[in-house]
Amino acid sequence: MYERQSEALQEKIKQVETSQDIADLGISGNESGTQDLKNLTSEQLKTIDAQIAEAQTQIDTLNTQKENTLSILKQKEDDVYQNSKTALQNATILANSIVDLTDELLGVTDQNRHKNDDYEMYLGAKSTSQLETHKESLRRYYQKWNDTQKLPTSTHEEILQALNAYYAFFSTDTKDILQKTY
Amino acid sequence: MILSVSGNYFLGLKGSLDSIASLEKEKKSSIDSLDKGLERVAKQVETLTQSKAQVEAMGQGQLTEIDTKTSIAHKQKDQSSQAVDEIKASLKALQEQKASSLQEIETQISQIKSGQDSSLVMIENGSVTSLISGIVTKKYASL
Repeated sequence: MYERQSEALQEKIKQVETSQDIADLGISGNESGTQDLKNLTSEQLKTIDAQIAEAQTQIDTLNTQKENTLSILKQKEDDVYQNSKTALQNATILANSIVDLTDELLGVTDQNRHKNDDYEMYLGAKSTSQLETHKESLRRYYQKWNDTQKLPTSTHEEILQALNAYYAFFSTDTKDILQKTY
Repeated sequence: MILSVSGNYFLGLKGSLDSIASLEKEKKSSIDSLDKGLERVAKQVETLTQSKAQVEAMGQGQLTEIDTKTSIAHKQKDQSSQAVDEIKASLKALQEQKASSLQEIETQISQIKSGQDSSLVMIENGSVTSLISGIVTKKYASL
């Protein structure tokens, strides 16, 4: 009776020990799997981090390029607007010359009314009313020029507005007056 | 001559307007190009950051799963160890019970021997055997 019980218990011990061995294998496998997974994840994260760092470098480079480009464009802009101011100044000199010349020739303003007395009689020889109409056109032209040349030119926006106004003044008003006068 | 000079300045004004227009175009083109590049790379960074978070979450999830399995295996092992200890304890108790029984039998045998010299009693492999009957309380006894 004791022997049979003893054998049965020994057999149970063997069975349980086999279960333990299986559990050990599982634990060992899991530990190995854990390490493999950690290594794999670590490698993937390293790769991603390297790609992020590379992209960040690209961002830095592009930002530097943008700063340089903005600096170059700023210099170009300053040059262009400085040249534009010079063009406006030169155009002003020319417009003033045209005004002075036509005024001296036709005696439109009080200031130059008597400068053409020697030959004024010949100017309206064909049509006095035509001469007066032309003088009236010149008065409007002078007024327009006075308004145009008073335009401010401190900022880039003001310079651009002045350029457009001067361009319109020369391309239409001045061209028309010169054709009629000469 | 005045017409000619006027034409030159007219061209100067037109040139300035053209230069400004050209500069604005260049500014827009250059900055747009750089901004698009920056936007593209920023999106790359965003995508990579998301990928990183996914890899971390996935790895952590798998690790948690493995940890759970390992924890279960450890518990099973502990339970098995406990079971082995209990069985060993039972086995030891059984062996002690067996030894005690044998001791009791030997005591009985000794008593019989001292009282009945003519009796023939054998103990073999835990079995007590007597060839004669009458005095021995049990003819066959087995443990």
